[in-house]
Amino acid sequence: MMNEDKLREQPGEEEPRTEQEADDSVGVKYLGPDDFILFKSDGGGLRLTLKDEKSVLRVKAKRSFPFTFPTKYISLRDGNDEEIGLIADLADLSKEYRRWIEDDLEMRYFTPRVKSIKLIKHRFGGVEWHVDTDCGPKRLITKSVHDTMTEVEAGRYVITDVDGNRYEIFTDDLDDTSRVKLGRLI
Amino acid sequence: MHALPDEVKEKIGAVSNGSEINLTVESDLSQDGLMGRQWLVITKDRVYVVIPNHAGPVVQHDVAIKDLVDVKAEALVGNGCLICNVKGSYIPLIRYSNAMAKEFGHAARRLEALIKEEEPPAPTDDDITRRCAKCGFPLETGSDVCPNCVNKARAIRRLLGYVKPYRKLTIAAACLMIAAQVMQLAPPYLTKILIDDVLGRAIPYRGHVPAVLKAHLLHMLGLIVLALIGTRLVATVMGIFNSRISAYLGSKMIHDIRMELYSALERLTVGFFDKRQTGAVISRVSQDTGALQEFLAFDIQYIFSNTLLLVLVLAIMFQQNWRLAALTILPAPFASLAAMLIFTRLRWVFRRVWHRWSKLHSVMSDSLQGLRVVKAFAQEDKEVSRFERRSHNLYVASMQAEQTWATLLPILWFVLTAGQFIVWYAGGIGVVEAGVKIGTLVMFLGYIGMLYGPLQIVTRMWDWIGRCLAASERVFEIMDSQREESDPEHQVRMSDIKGQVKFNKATFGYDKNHPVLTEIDLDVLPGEMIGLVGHSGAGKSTMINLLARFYVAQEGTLEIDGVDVRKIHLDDLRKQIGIVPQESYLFSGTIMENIAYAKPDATPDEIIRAAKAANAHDFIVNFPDGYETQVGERGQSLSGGERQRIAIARAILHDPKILILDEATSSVDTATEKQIQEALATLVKNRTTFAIAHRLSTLRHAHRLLVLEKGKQAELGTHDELLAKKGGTYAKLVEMQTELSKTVGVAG
Repeated sequence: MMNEDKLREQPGEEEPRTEQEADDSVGVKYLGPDDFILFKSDGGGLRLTLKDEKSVLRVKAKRSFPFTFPTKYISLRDGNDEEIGLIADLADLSKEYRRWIEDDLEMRYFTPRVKSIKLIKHRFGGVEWHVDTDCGPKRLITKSVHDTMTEVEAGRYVITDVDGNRYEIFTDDLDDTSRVKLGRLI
Repeated sequence: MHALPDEVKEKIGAVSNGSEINLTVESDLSQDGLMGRQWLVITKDRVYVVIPNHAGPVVQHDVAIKDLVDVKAEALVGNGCLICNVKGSYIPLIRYSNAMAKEFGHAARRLEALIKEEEPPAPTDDDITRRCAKCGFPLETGSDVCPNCVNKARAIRRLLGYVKPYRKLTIAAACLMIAAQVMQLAPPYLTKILIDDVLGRAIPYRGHVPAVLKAHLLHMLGLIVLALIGTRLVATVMGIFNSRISAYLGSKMIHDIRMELYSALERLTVGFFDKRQTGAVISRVSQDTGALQEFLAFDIQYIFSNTLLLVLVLAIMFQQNWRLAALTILPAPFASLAAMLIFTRLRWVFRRVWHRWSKLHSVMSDSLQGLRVVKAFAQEDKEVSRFERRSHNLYVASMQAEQTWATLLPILWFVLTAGQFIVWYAGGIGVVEAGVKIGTLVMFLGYIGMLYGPLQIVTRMWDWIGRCLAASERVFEIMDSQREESDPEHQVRMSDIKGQVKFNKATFGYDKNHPVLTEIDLDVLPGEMIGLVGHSGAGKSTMINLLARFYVAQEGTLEIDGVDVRKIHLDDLRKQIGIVPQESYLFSGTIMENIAYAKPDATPDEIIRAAKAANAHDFIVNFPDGYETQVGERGQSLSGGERQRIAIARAILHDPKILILDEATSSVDTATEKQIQEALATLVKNRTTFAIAHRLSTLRHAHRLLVLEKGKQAELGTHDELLAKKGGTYAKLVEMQTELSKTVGVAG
C-alpha cells in the first residue's frame, strides 16, 4: 500500500520551497473541501467554481487508481480534459458533493460485478459466458481467456468482451459452483 | 435505425404532435446504469430520450435541436454516453454499453449536422455493429463470416481444397492404408485356423499323431506361419509407404497454406497489424498451420482408417458368431460415452495448464528482456517472487491435470476392455456347452483387441476436428482479411508523380467516432517542404499515415497531382514515396543490402553515392567489413545515428518524389544531428517533403509550417510569419524551446 501522506503535497515547514519550484507543471494541486463549489444542473451535468479563480462549465471526474483506490486521488477535469485538481479522498467532501462525484464516476467506469456464473462455453473462436451481475443478467462473448482476462490482484479479474465492455469478478463474491466453473478456465 | 415498441412510438407521437421520426436508437442500458433499455428518438426539431416505466414509457429528456450547442458521443470506460451542451449546460443524455457505441456515434454525427443545418450523413457499414444473427458476435467490416458460427462443413471443404492438387497421391495413400488395414485382419483368422484345424486336430492323439496326418499338419503349420509372417511383412511395407507419402502430402500441403497465408499477411493493411500483437500473428503462421498439418497429414487418415477397421472387425465378428459379437460390444456405448466425458474434462484441465504456462512465459520474457532495469533498481527478489507465484500456479494446474489423466485414463481403459471378460466368460460357456471351437474364441479375443484403438480414436475424433477447425478459422481469417488494394484493375497508373499534394477537408480517426484529424486543408506545391508542428498526439504521424496510404481519410480527400490517392495504383504510389522513420528499421543482412532494399539492382557506385550523400560513407568504410558489414537482427551493432543515416541513404537511393521525415533526428546527439541535417538537406532537394520534428530548429529550411492542435489545423505559414503572430501556438512553442535550451545550457 502506498503511503498516502507522502503522495500529498506538503508545502511549508520541512522543505521550504521557492516560488519557482511550486511551478504548476510539476506541482500536484489538491482540492480541499473548501476550495471549490460544485453545482449539478437539472440534466445531470456537473459545474464547478474554483474559489477566487474560475468557473468550469463541464466537470469530469476520473480515477487515478481505478482498482486500488476507487474513491481516492480523484482527478477533476474540465471539458478539454485539463486537470482542475485532485481530490485526495472523497470522504473529505460533503455528502452531497461526494454523491455527485460518485455518480459521475459510476457512469464513467461502468464495470458490472459478476455475482454468479451460469455457464462458460467454449465456442469456435471464443468463449460464451452467461453471468449474473450486480447490474442484471448478461450473456457475453469474449475472445480466448488468454486475451480477455486480466488479473488485477489475487482473486480479482477484469474481463473485456468483444465489444470492449468490462466486467469484474471477485472470486470471493462467487458461489461454489461458479468458482468451480471459473477455476476450470484459469 | 431500430424499430420502436408501439407504446414508445405512441408516446413520441403524443409529445411531438406527430412529427416525423428521423432516427431511433435503442440503448442496452437503463437510465440508472443497469442492464435494460431506453430509446433515443430524433425528430426534425427535437431529441427525446424515452425510458420504460411500469405505467408505460416516460419521456426523460426532451430537448429542442435549436437549443443544442454541440453533441458528443463520449467514450467512457466500459460504456459511453451521449453528452450534449444545451445552451451552455452539459447534459448526459443517454448511456449505452460499448456494444452500441457505433450506433450512438452515428446519432451524434447526425445531430451535429442538424445543429449546423447541414445534410445529415447517411449511415454506412461502419455505423452499425453488424452482428452474427446466430450468436451476436460482432462481425468485422466487410466480412459476413462469423468466426464463432463459421460453417464447419464449409471450413472442412475449404481445407480439403488443398488436397485437390494431390488427388492421385492421396488416393494411392488411402489405398495402401486400406490394404494395410485389411491385412491386419488376417492374423486372428489365421490363428483360428491354426488352433481349430491344425493344432486342435493333433491334441486328441496326445503326441502319437499318425505319420500321414502329421506330415499334413506340419505342412499346414508351416504354411500358416508363413502366411502370418507374410501378412505382417506386407502390412509393414505398405505402412512405410503410406507414411512416407503422407509425410510428403502433409508437409507439401501445409507449405502451400503457409505461403498463401504469408503472402496474404504481407498485403494486409497496416491497420490489421496495429490492432494485433505481432507475436499472435506469428503464432498463427507457425502453430496454427502446424495444427493443420497434423490434421491433414495424419488425423484424417487415422480417422478414416480406424473407422474402416472398426466396421470390418465388427462385420467379421458378427459373421462368425453374432451372439458373442453382440455381447462383446455391449460395453462399447458406455465406453464411448465415458471417453467423451473424460476427454472433455481432460481438455479443460490441459487448457488451463496451457494458459498458466503462457502466463509464466510472459513473466519470464518480461523480466529477462528488462534485465538491466531489474538490476538497476535491485528488484531481482521481486521478480523471483513474481515468477514463484506463477510457477506455483502452474505446478498446481499441471499436477491436477496429470493426476486427472492418471486417474481417468485407466478407468476408461478398464471400461473399454470390459468386453474381453464377457468374451472369456460367454465364449467359455459356448465352448463348454454349445460346441464353440476354441479357435473361434481366441480369434474373438484377437479381434476385440483390435477394437480398442479405433474406438478411442473415434471418440477423440471430434476433439481433433474441433482443434483443426479452430486453427483453420484463424488461418482463414487472415487470408480473408481486407487487402490494401481491393481493386487494382481500376486504379490509375502514375509512374511519374510530380509531387503536388492536396488535403481536402480530410478527416480521419482510427476509430471513426474519435477523429484524430479534422478537416485538414492543405495545398502543397511540388518540391515544397512542409514542417508539421504540434504537441504529441496532435495528429502529425496520422497525417503521414494518410500520405503513405497506410490509412485513408474517412471524410474529405487527399490528392496527389490532382488524383485521389485511393485511386492511384499502390505500387506506383509507394515507389515514389520515401519514409525516413523515427526508429530506423534495418533488416538482417549487410549494410549494402539495406541501402539497396528498395532498389536491389543498384550498382556499387550508386550505393556509395547514396551513402556519401547521407553522410554515412565514412563510418561505413571504417568498419572492417565495409559495406558488407552484417547488421544483425534489428541492426543492434550500430548506433542510433548510424542506423538513421543508413535509412537516409536507403531513401536517397529510392529517389522518391514525396519524402516523409518522421522525427528523423530525434534519437541522436547534437553532433550527429548536424551530420544528419546535412544529409537531409541533400535529400530534400527537389522533392515534396513533409517533416515532423520536435526540435523546431530542424525545420528552419521548411518553406511553410503547418501547426496542428488536437487534430485541427491551427496555423499555416512560414517560420517568420508564424513567429510574428504574438500569442500564436508556434510562437509559444518556439519560446518554450528556447527557454528549455537555456535551462539545459545552464544545467549542462
